[in-house]
Amino acid sequence: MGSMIIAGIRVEFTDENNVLTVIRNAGIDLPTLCYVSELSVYGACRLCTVKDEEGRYFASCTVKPRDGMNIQTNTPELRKYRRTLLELLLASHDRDCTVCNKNGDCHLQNLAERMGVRNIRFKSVQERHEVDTSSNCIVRTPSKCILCGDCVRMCDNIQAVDALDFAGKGVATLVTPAYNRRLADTDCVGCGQCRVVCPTGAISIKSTVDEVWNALADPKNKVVAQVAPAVRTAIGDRFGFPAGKNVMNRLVTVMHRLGFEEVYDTAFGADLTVTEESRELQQRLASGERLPLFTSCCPAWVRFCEKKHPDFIPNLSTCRSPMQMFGAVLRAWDRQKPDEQGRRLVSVAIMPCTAKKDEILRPESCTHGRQDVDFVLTTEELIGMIQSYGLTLNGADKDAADMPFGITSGAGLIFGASGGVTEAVLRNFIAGHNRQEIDALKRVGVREENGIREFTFHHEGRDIRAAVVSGLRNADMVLNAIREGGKSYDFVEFMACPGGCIMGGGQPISSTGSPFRARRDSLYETDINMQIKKTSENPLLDTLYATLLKGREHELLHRNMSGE
Amino acid sequence: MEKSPETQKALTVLEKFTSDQCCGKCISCREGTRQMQQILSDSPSPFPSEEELALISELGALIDHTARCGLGKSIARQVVSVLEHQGGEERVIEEYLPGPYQELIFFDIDPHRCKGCSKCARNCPVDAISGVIKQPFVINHELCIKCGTCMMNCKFGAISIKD
Ligand code: SF4
Ligand code: SF4
Ligand code: SF4
Ligand code: SF4
Ligand code: SF4
Ligand code: SF4
Ligand code: FES
Repeated sequence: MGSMIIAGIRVEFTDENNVLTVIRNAGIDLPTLCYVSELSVYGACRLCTVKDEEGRYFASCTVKPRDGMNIQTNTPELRKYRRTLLELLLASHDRDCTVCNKNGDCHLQNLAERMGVRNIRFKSVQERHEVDTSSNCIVRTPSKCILCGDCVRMCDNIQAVDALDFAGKGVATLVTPAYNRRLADTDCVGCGQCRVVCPTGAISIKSTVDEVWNALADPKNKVVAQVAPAVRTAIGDRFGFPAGKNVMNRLVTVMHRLGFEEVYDTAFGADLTVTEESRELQQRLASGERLPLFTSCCPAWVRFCEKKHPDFIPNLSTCRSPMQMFGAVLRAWDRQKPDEQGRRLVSVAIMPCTAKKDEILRPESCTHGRQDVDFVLTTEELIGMIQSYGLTLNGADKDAADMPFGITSGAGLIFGASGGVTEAVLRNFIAGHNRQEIDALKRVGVREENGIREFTFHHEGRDIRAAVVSGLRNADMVLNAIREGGKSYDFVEFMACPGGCIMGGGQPISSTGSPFRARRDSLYETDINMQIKKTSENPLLDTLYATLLKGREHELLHRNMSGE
Repeated sequence: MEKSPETQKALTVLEKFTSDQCCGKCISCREGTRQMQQILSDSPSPFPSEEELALISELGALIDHTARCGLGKSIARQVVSVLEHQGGEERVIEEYLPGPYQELIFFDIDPHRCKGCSKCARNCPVDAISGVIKQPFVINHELCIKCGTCMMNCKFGAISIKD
């Protein structure tokens, strides 16, 4: 508590962690290249340097606010320092912006523009380093790295994976996996959160855009796509829609124009997942075996569990993820009713997620030796395709998702936000169609915002103890607590990305504050307007279970570890 | 091109610093000292020109005011003062920045040089130095945040950077 003077104006502060936050709250967007509020403070870029009443200079992100401070943020000297810092950084940066994956969307580029860097007085000293393409999810381009350490702290502080670190010292400092290994040889789970915080093009999405364009151009193919719930409330950001706006129907139209013959809604796959997962939970509750049941729809979480906590593998649900269930159903449908023109089905999934690129390659994601889903494109990659075609979502017509899988429930839709899977499963535990009861679920705690939330749900005379966890550091803590006996649950939902898939590693990054609430609220809003609330009310599911899935539920909807 | 003794001294200091002592964290220190070195070695004459010197001292001020620890600051000052022939003038460090310390280097007091005057201990912002007057003082490395204040204050040159 207290007040200070910032650039001549008195501002109050309460519990802000550092002077930088007070300055920003006062409306001055001081440039930074190493500050991410959720991460620990690192203090490397020095761009946030300010001057106090005694003429002392300090990095404002590293100093606690004190009552009575008098801070200057824009003296001629400070302005010069900021520009020189950027000049220095750019002198050692591989700055071929025109061919960089981050061009136009790069924080470093943007700051250079904002600070008016028009000329670099220093000699170019950039070093070329090998690009690491070993991961199925992300690409590391170390010559674009400015050593801000954001990825290192994300992977450690928030994700508890610790795949990245600093190596070397002085001018030879590098950010790299320990022992200079390739990313594929580390514990990296592919969540892409490092890419979300990277201010440059040093960490990018492993793109399969060219492969998909080729598939679309080949007349021997019939290319279909499914679109995950989280994509529709994020993709509009890049086309000038307000943050969180659900643009699914426009997106379907535009994707048809790109050449996707049918565009389906992954929420249908989520409906299948909820159905299977609620059955599985009921069975495990009845038998008391392998409790708590852990969700398995987030592939980064599944990898994390396998790599860091293998003793919990039996607790993982055997359900495939919504994407994989849908992929298997599409493939089986195609085998049963082959295309009249004899074309080959190419199945593409549009996902908010980089880890899904790895999931489709796992042995259990294949049937008869063929991948169920051929390509995963992240939201960012789809934006690139739309833009390169010369299309836009603005003004596009509104098409509905294609049949025969076009009917989905609200339960399948809210999967995109952390807590959604749990809420959807619990809806199936409510007998009948009582809207009040379904509504009351929202208030048991499943929709809170913290990364670990626990609550109890009463069902048929017993308490179901559930937890909703997002962020892998949180997952790590919960698993340790369960192992040590401090906590016991019946059902735990785990999502690797803090906030769930709407904040996935393949989503567009906002330069103006977190889009989390806007995206989440938009999904819940759409759910309110959906006729079908529970997956068990989806008439299409009944038909599917009576036909295609009859006797094949296990084969098509559960993880088949043999890959046959 | 044969460099003048001052230039050569500055280059030697920078060479050791950029490859060995700098922890590589702050842009100003890491890239600033690298460019100082670059400017000096690229200079076509034994002495840096007016212009080159101006750029180096601009970098010196930048590092002095924005680098995190006393190590970077003291190197920058040393280079600028060698080049400006400003030896002998005592300068006092104006600030220190709290924060996690870096592990690669540490400050140490040479017991043979230390006269036990306690000036370092009185100036240490985190009270990491203790000792008895007229006997060698010692730095507690657990507490030390590597700000470099002690080194800047020691009149006997007893404190130096080790790695
Ligand atoms: S990372 Fe940014 S500044 Fe660097 S080349 Fe790419 S777009 Fe340009
Ligand atoms: S993708 Fe996730 S796990 Fe892999 S390095 Fe990045 S943050 Fe770490
Ligand atoms: S890879 Fe990106 S986030 Fe990581 S240190 Fe380099 S610039 Fe920063
Ligand atoms: S939370 Fe969602 S977006 Fe993030 S890794 Fe998991 S499935 Fe992918
Ligand atoms: S912490 Fe010190 S040594 Fe490391 S880069 Fe900054 S000023 Fe240089
Ligand atoms: S460097 Fe010296 S003055 Fe600074 S904290 Fe360490 S002992 Fe104290
Ligand atoms: S934001 Fe403060 S040093 Fe980078």
